[in-house]
Amino acid sequence: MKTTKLIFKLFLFNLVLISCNDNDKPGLEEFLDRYENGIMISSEGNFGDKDGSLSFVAGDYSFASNFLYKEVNGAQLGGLVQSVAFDDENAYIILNDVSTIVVADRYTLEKKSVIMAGLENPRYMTIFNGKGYITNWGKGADETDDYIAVLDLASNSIEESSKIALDNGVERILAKDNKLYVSHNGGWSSNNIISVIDLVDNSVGEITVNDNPDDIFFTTSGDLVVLCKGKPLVYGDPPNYDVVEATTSSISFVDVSTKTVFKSLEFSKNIRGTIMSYSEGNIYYYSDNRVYKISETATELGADGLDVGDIYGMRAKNDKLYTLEYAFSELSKLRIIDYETESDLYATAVGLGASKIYFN
Amino acid sequence: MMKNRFVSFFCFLASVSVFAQKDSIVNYLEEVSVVADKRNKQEALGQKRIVFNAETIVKNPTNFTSLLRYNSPIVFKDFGNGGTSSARFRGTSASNTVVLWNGININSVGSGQTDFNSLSANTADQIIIKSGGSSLQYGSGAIGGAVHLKDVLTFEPHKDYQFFSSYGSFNTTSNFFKSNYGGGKWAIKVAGVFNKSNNDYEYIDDRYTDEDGDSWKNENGNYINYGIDFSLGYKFSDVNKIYFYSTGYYGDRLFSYGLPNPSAGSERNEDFNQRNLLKWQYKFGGFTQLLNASYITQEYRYYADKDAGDFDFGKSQKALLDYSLAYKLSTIWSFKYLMLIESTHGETNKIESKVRNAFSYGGIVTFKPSSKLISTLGIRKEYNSDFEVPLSVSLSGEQKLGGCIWLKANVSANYRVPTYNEMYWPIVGNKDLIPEHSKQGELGVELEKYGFKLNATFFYIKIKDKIIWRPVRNSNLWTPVNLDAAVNKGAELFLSYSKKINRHSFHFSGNYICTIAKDSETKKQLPYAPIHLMNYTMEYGYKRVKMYLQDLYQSSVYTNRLALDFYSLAPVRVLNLGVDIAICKNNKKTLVLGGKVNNFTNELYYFTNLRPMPGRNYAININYKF
Repeated sequence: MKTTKLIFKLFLFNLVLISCNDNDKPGLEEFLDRYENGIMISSEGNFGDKDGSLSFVAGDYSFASNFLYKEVNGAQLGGLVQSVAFDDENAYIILNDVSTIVVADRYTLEKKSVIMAGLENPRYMTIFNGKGYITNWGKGADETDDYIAVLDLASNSIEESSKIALDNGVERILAKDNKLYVSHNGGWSSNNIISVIDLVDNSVGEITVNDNPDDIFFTTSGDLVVLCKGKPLVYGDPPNYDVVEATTSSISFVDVSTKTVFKSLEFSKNIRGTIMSYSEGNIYYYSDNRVYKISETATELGADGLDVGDIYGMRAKNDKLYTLEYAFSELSKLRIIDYETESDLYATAVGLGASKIYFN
Repeated sequence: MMKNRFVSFFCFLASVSVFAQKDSIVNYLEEVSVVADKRNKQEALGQKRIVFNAETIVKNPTNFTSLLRYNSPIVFKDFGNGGTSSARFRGTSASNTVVLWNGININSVGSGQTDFNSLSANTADQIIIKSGGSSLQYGSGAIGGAVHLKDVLTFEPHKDYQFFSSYGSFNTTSNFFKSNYGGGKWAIKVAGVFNKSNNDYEYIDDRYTDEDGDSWKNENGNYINYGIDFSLGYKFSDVNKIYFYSTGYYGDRLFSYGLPNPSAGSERNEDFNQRNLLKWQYKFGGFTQLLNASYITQEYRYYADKDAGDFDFGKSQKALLDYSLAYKLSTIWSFKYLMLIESTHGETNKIESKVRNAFSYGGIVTFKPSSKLISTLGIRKEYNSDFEVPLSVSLSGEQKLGGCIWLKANVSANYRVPTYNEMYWPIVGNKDLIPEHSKQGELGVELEKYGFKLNATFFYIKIKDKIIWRPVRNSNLWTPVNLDAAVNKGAELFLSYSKKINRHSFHFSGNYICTIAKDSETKKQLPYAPIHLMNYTMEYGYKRVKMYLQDLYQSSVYTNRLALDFYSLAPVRVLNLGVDIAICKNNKKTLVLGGKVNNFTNELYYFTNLRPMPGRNYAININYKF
């Protein structure tokens, strides 16, 4: 019986030892009443896990804070944060996988409204004349059901009757001079057009560009710059599965008055540009781990780029480069780099799968 | 006295449970028990097993997930009530859990897992939960543990029938019928199961509501499934018996989308499973040989849009031949030779047809110098047409200490081979994968006295080359890689107690598991591995009325490897209350009417992010045995 007792004591002892819990929680938990004069970062989270999030970094880098919306509202956004659109008051947080837009105060992030009806696979939104225009893939596998949903910002409801049907794979959207410009990245497949919608009569025109047009911007002179990523054709070996063959990638310039491509800076064969940003006459683009800067008047692509590693999101402003590390199993890292001096100004961990940067 | 109880316990397990059902007291005592079944001792020597029978099943009849969630040490991750559900033992992954049907591994060929809401266990005669590695016996996947569904055929003359039907909230109905017959030479079992639910429960999370501020409902969550079992045994003589088992199952489910936008749900999934097994047992001299020939087919059809006709599918057929020859040299030494040939054919609309062949063989030596000590050493080697498979080794021992205490120990090396999806999925399938492999050990003590049964087991598992799906840079692709190593350690505790005083009866049965499962690189707790899991059932009976309480607690789990609060699920606590009234009870028949309130405190709880489980809900049932 002595042995028995001993064994029992050992068991109890071990249970106590094992039960101890060692949570080490990271910092980054400073919260404010208003998130302004700084940088808002949206993180997608993983598709289906409903764990997209928002982060904020003060303009003077005095602090950074993650998972803000949950802190403010006590509930998660609840989906993959594809993008955010802003008007003076509100942030429209677009959740792709759950076909939802959460409307929150732009600066306090307090929830105001949630929009679901009329959305299916929403991607990006632009605001014009009291309306929000949201690109929607419809069903991913269906190439004929893409559309723009029209949101009445006063009532926060989608105007079903104003829906604009478009060709496959709608992505980015810009509004200018009563017209909408939509890049057709191609959704689950591929496409090669920019749609132009005249909001006077809702007529739709098309401009053909190279394959997989994604980021679009207007230059100060009013031309539309389009990043055509090229369509991946062949993937390489594991574990990286790099795209080894693709159709032509380019940065194309469109004269919107004639709807023609007047300049196209093409990448070398099987090299792709995948992210682009525009600031004060300069185009910053990302290709193969490097960011290049060219003038909007350039006639060829850049020669020397800045190595930034694997990134998933990028924005440039006043020659500062903001990059988001590609990370879906770790927290992404936000880096702020002075492009000219190539010096790091600031870095911090943001959410999982961070993808977009906004100035707030 | 002790001895008698022991003996009757063995008899109970060795016989069909329906026998025991006639003796309601025995049955009552053994609803959930630590197995001390000497017959099958070798299968789990040195390891921990618990067994349920029909009495446990009828307390959680709606799906297999809820049955095991309230009665076993397994952690489940299900995508809402009735949704896809996977099981984890001791903090290991879902593909480290083996599900066996009458000894045959039925994990999906594509994913290497079993969806615990796409099979019904209600007509099983025994459900055995074996914690710990057992690749020696069950091959690939048996790292965390095994769930064993058994149909029991016995030849002793008997005729037993059971009919069970329950109906409750959300138009949920669960029904089964089971008949077991023994006629000297013949043994027959026929059973059928039917489950259906609208499953449109209210989401009681008031942080998420529709435009009018009303609660959402679990839209697109309906399910229906049915199955039939047929088993037959023929006894040529005491030493020569043949058995045939067959089962078919069909399940049709919609997958709900959960919060924040339940109306976005449109997925549907169908499952078709068919399994056959022929088993021949023959004894001669000191030899016992057992031959299993099995053919099983599985198919799923997944509709991304339930209203569209097109679907993705996965189909597999597996044929296997399993032979063992055991020889008892003396009361001290016995030997067993094992051999298994397996051919698996799998395809999906995305993976062209692939055939994988495996051959394995092994041997087990059992050494039993006295009635107080028994130990075995076993080795198994598999040759697989797709890759090198590590050797499985298992060394076990059990030592009796004093009158009622057994000390149990086991060390083993186990593995899990890459699945079809992991190897052949278009573009991302990784043909360079190697099997996951583990080294593990456990030490347990088992005690039985004064109505108490206790099993406390410490475990240590080191897993290497875990296959993890990882995102591929600059794309939306995910690919499986042999990446992580993990160390899981902790303790499992099982306790049951039964007491009867005059017309009062009391019964308690519960599990507690503490799991520290850490990624070797990040040193953080693994996703979906709660540090604490506890469940118990407490029952009080007076005369013909029995009341019971079920309690489940699961501590917070992380939903990814970051191990941050934001990516976690809150602790879960659910309480269910039930009552059973025996309307008629005699030697021939028992008719019990029951009622149950599930989640009576109306607690909001989640097992996956933003897919709420039901609030308070009700069910009534009838359980008739004749």
